[in-house]
Amino acid sequence: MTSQKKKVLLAPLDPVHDIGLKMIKRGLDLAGHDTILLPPDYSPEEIIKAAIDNNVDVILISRTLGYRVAEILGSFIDLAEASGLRERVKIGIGGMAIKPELAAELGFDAGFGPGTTVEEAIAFVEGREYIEEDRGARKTKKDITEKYDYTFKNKRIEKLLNTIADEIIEYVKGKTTPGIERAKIREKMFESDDEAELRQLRKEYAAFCDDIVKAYYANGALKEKTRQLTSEELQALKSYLEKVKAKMKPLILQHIDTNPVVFIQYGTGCPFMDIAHIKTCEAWGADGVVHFDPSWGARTEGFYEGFITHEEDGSVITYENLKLIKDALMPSTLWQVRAHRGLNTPETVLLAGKVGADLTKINIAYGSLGGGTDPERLTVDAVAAIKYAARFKMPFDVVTNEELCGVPAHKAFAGMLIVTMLGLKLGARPILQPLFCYSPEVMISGQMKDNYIDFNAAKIFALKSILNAPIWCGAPIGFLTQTEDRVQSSLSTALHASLASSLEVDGISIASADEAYSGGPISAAARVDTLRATQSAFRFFGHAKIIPTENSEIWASQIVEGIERTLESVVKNGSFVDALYKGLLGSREEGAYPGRAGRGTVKNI
Amino acid sequence: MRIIGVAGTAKNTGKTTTISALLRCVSQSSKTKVGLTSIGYDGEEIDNITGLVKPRLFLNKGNVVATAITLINAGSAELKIVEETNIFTPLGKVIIAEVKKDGLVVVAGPNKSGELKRVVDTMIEKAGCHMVLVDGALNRIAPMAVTEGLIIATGAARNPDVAELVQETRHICDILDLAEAEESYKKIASDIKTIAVINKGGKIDTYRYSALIHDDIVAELRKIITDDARAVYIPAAVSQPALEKLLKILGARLSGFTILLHDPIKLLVSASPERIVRTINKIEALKGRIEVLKKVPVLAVTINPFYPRYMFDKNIYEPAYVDEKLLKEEMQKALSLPVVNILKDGADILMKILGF
Repeated sequence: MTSQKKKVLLAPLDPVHDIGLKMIKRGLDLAGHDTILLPPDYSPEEIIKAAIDNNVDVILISRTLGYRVAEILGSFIDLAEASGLRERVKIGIGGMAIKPELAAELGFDAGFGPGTTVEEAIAFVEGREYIEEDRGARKTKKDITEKYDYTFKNKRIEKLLNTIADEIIEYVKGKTTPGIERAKIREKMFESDDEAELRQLRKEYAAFCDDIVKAYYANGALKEKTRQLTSEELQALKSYLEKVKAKMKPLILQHIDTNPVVFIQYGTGCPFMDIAHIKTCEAWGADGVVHFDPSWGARTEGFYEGFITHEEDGSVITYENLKLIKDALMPSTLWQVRAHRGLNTPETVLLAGKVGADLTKINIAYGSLGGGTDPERLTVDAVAAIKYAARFKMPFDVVTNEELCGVPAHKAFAGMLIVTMLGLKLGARPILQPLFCYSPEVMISGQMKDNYIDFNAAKIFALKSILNAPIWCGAPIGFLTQTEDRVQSSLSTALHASLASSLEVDGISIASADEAYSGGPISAAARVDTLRATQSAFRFFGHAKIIPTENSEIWASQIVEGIERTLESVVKNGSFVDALYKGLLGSREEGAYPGRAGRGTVKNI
Repeated sequence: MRIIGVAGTAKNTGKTTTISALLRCVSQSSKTKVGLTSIGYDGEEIDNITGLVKPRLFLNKGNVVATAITLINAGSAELKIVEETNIFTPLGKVIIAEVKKDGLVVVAGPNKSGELKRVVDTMIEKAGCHMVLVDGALNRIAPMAVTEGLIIATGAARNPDVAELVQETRHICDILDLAEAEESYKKIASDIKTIAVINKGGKIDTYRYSALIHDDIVAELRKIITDDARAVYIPAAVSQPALEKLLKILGARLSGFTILLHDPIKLLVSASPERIVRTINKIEALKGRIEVLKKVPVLAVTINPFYPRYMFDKNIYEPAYVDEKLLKEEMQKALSLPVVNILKDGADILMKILGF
């Protein structure tokens, strides 16, 4: 009991509902106050008479707003006022549609809407100022690799991976690429503050770039449609962020400790718009955000500089753009800058590390079989990139989206595990990212004919049986199960999130409810859809589990056997790079085409 | 007349438009310093209840506003706090501020009579306002009892049936125009805080309730009404059904008996004006009297022919209008008060009535 004992009348001015008042009554009773709870359906006159007869200090009214209810509540307050109650009795109103502005309009002393805590109502009764919990402060950044030691349970697979990874490290020795050289020059630029030296370094940098980027370093020209943000726009962004940060009260999606962290993906092409999407998602509970760069950027040698906007296919990577985004993030938000598939892989990881990203994304197999980059080029670049990731202590995920091209899971997983082992050997902390959705392979082979659970579960069971490593389901979960119906898409996302949580994975990436069918930029409201749906699903299941059928164990064994077979074939082949060209990790018939971007650019030093 | 309330009979009847028009008139005269407050929430862009776009409130430099502290930057006007009160609203403490740069304001001021009185007095005495406008709120008129005059804003949004609307407005004005009690009663009642029976010879029996709002209260009151009773004074609310019950109890004794109320608003809050007037007529027919200690004069009625018509097929409201000429003529015929269509006639007539 922190203040003087109060007498409180709780009255549902409602034909039926009084559950909120019952909860508040319990809180007030525990806090030592006297409470009187009236049954539902009393008239305003009866409630006011009860308040007078019991000489109460506070009246708490509950009402679910509906037709004419604003008028009813206004009249109630008017009658209370005319009855002489208002000068000595405080009156609060609670209900689903109540906001402070509406409470003021209706003449109440306080309004309690959805999300009101019992503590808030008690503070009102006791006349204390309610200090809302800073939910942003409660949110902490999670390292999803923290609890993993990467020990292999499957020793056979470990041995095969060791052989392949050692071969890759040996292969790249004495080799370089324009991507690696640019990263080295960029690093020198970071270290220099001498204008003349910087000019010289930019010249050297441009020499390793494609013409479209060379033009920028020669005369500032940018790719068509793109432009630099103006100083007015940057100022507007600053003031927007100040306002948003001041009112940020982020939701927390997780209901139990083992619910995975939830990532969203952004890449509107405009850093300002990206930040608006990020802040919206942070407010609605997203734990992490993934930067999507344009596909032309992955196929083009070299990066621009400056605050570049108006790209139509992802957000252009520059140090300045990344810095804008980094500075906008909540301290708890995990931030990933992807470097997995293009000609700027080493420099992307360098920039991400310099700006302060938490995570990056590297996968040679996906990048060269589904992402369009030459296998040899990406192998050499990826080793350099992984070394940067290790240096900046940035875990990287190894995505297996080549499954979306049609590569079977076991082959995609073999590629993922090779890069994982490579990462471990180079001192980095890799994260497994299995596809957690409806992929072409299962459409053809029928593993999801009955349900979406068994085959997704089989993948997780398989990976967990091989090694003790973090798993982040992607990307995004439930992809290709969404339709243009936002409710259906949200539900499907939430169900996949629940399954991922039930399988105790560490992270998930989710799409907005309109991502698959937006026909253009996705909307902030549709992002809220899937975040809210995921939060509800986590709340619904808690520690309860989703139980797959026996098929999941059968398919898990088949996946592990397939991985072993694939790795054996790579070892037998002798060269990992050659195995990629030959289709051992995904063939042309399966939809995997060795990329051509950067072919012939690897040089011996 | 310094404290003017504007009460609307429903949303979209022109309450805020009337206030805005008055503010515009005042702004033309640099000599008049006006204060503005609201017993609800006004000046926002979108209505909190209907979601419809609302007229905004514009204040000129030098004028004064009393609003919740969290709304100080909600409009475009630059405000300087001159007084921080200890009065709380759901949107924070009420402050009194002077306008330093012309602009829009969002107003949520004190919402109880006592607090409204304190704020308005401060605005006049300390901030030097010559006139204070009090913006009303949906279905809430009780705090308006502290004003010195009331402008009623009504219109088709309340009822698009012109005949019914006119009749209701006349009833409201009739209730607010209840006769003032004789001085002797005023003197006796001025110190009484609860329901009291005034007997022959000046003997007074008091009763624990101050409002007559429930049958049980009337039943208890019956015990202290003897043949010597000449009047009953009710300082707080009187509900129309409870008043009907009292009439039954008094029966033939009502002849020559006086029912005294503190002010007419205490009766107006209880039921539809039509039912209240029916009860008043019954009292008068039985040769009884119903009087008030303090009148709240109605200064004028403003009318608005606009109403939002709901389109079921599109799930939106569309603007609709009743015949403005008919509405004004019928309203004027029924009332002995100025009837003004603010959008058409402007607020000059109102300013004259207010003595500016």
